[in-house]
Amino acid sequence: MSPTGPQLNPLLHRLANCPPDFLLGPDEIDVTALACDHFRALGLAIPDPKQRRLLAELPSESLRLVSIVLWLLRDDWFVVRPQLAEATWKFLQSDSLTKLAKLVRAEAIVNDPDRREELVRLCLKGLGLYPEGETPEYAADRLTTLDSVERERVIRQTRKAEARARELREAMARRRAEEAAARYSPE
Amino acid sequence: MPVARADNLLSEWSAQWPAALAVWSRFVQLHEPTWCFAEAEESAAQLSGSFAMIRLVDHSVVISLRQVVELGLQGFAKEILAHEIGHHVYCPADLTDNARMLARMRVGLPTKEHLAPFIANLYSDLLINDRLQRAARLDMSGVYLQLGSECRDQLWTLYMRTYEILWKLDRGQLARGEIDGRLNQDAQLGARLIRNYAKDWLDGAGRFAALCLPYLLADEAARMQKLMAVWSDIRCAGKGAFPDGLTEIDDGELTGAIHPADDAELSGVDASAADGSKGKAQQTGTKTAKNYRQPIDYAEVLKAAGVNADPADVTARYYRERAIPHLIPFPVRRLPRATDPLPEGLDVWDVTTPLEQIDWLGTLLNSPHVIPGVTTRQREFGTSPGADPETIPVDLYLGVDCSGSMGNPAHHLSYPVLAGAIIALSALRVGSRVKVVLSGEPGRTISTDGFERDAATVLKTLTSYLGTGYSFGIHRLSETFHPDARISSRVKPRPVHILIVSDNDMFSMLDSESKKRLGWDVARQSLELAGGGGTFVLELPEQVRGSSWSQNTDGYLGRIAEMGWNVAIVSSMEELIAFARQFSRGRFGGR
Repeated sequence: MSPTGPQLNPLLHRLANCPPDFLLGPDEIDVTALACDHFRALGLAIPDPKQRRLLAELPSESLRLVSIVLWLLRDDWFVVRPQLAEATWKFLQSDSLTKLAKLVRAEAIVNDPDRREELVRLCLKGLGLYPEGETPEYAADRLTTLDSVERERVIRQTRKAEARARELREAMARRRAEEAAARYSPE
Repeated sequence: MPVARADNLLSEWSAQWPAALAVWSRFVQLHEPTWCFAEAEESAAQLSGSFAMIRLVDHSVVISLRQVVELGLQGFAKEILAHEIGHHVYCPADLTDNARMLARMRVGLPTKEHLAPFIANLYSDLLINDRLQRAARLDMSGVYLQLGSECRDQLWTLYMRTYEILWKLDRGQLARGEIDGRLNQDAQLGARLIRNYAKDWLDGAGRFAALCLPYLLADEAARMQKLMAVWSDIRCAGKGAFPDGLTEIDDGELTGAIHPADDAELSGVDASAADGSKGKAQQTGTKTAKNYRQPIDYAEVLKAAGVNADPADVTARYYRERAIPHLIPFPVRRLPRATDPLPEGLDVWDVTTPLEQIDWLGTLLNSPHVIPGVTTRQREFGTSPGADPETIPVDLYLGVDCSGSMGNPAHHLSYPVLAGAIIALSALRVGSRVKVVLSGEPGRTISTDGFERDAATVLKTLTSYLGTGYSFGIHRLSETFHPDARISSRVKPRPVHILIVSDNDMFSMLDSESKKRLGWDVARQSLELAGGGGTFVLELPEQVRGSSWSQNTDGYLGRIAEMGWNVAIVSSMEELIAFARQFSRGRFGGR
């Protein structure tokens, strides 16, 4: 069973107040350096060059998300728990973060309430935690509901249904126009 | 319900009314609800099926305390009352917005438009309940827990799951049916829609309908409709009144009925990133021209809004609303020199003179014994030069072709009928009287009793439809314009302008003979007797004008003009406006 993590709301506030510098692209800020700073803040040695290279080679949209996550995880609750460092490093390079980065822009992560909550919950899940005051089942269910990857998959299917509804509307409109035009035919 | 118990319940609920109002604002003023304790009282208040309802026309709330007890909702007085108040102050709040919401939802429910009132109730309830639960900390979830329901209808499950997501409740606390990935995501989209469009709820209406549509295709959510019937409180909200401004289609009404998944702001997924497609079309910055509903769609929207009116009144109202922005200065006859009446003395009143000309003061001064034709007196008037030019309104004879070729104006917009409505209303506005004659000959005819001043009667007759025969019976003019016929009951008949609305079939009618008179002769004589000029308004579509199809259109038009009639071709809005402007500059001059 996953251990209890921090309260959700303070993290949501922290993310909403993410400084604009953390939203800059990887060609303007050194995300690897940010990660190393995080490790130093935890009182740990920085990852070795090979590990740092793996991080630096992530796609640029992933790196933008990584810098936002590092801002989030600099919250006091995490800083006093250096035992989460290894899980943090794995999470920064995880598939779940990469897939999210492909679908949602960094600005939306910070500005949209649901996207903020999604990222916070994803981070906690990646660290093996769930929000204080919630059950693991509720936390998992809430993340599934907010999951952009899952939503994108459903949306692709829903668009087909919407396209069918649109075809129906257009067919009805064409039929009405034909009925109106039929009035002018010679008797 | 026992009297004592009813009194207790009434005092409890009545005591909560001020608090329920205060939930929205301390400035909200609504009169207390009508409380019903028995079925007979519910019937009298027109409450059927639901335990609560609102009526926008008189800002009323009706609550059945009998059903409240049956459903076990006694402890939710503040929640339910605040909810009903919310329909008056938030959504839909007024008749026009209620109708506009339904119109937008109908666009989002192709083939299921008749369910728009049901979906509108769900949507407005979501908006109101979310505000009450979160901002006012009322227990709206408790009301739904008490109401239902083990219902597993898919739409009900979606609806309840949406509440669970909005209020961060555990899955299954309200929604008991199966929640697969698709339904869960749709509920999430629904929750985002409610939050994002809380202030601009009208813009979200079409999207909500589109979201619900897939869950209605199978069985129209029959079980949920039955379940929600106990709280379908805005089903009759629009009863008793005619909302204005519905002939025009709003900006966003047609483009707003998209599935929330197609709205990047709601889905949170960039369309191009998701599947490489361009996603929904982006709106340009160009302002589009106004769109208008067809009369039949207008009637459907009003019906959905609960307006229970005679279809003929609905059609008349449609054309009135379309005509009003285009009213013109109706030509009047101006006298070269004005005269003012000058009283000159008394003369004997005899019985052949109209009764209203008796001067009673003069009569009684002459003799206290009133003997008609002997002691009765009438005032004689001379004239003196006046200061202002005198104008005489010109009455209007409006003949409308109601044959099959003209089409039913109640179904599709008829530009000639609209032209007739503009001219008729313009005429009434300056004090003219209007006679409307509908004719589809050979066949039937209907008309106003005579020359009318009542706009409603005129429009209702004008927008009727017979569908008989092939053209307006031009020979009908002789019933009104005949040397021996009294055109009006007035002592001094006014000139009459004859306006005939028809199409190219009028040419055959003019050539036809009835009672040994050609249509051309009737038209010529009627124009002379009317004394106010005449106009043919003909609907000639492009494919007919200049066509060699069995008629010499230009020849006929020329012959009509030679008789002294004006001719206007009206088959589009642009031609109609041009005709109206030209008519207003007619030979009777401007204002």
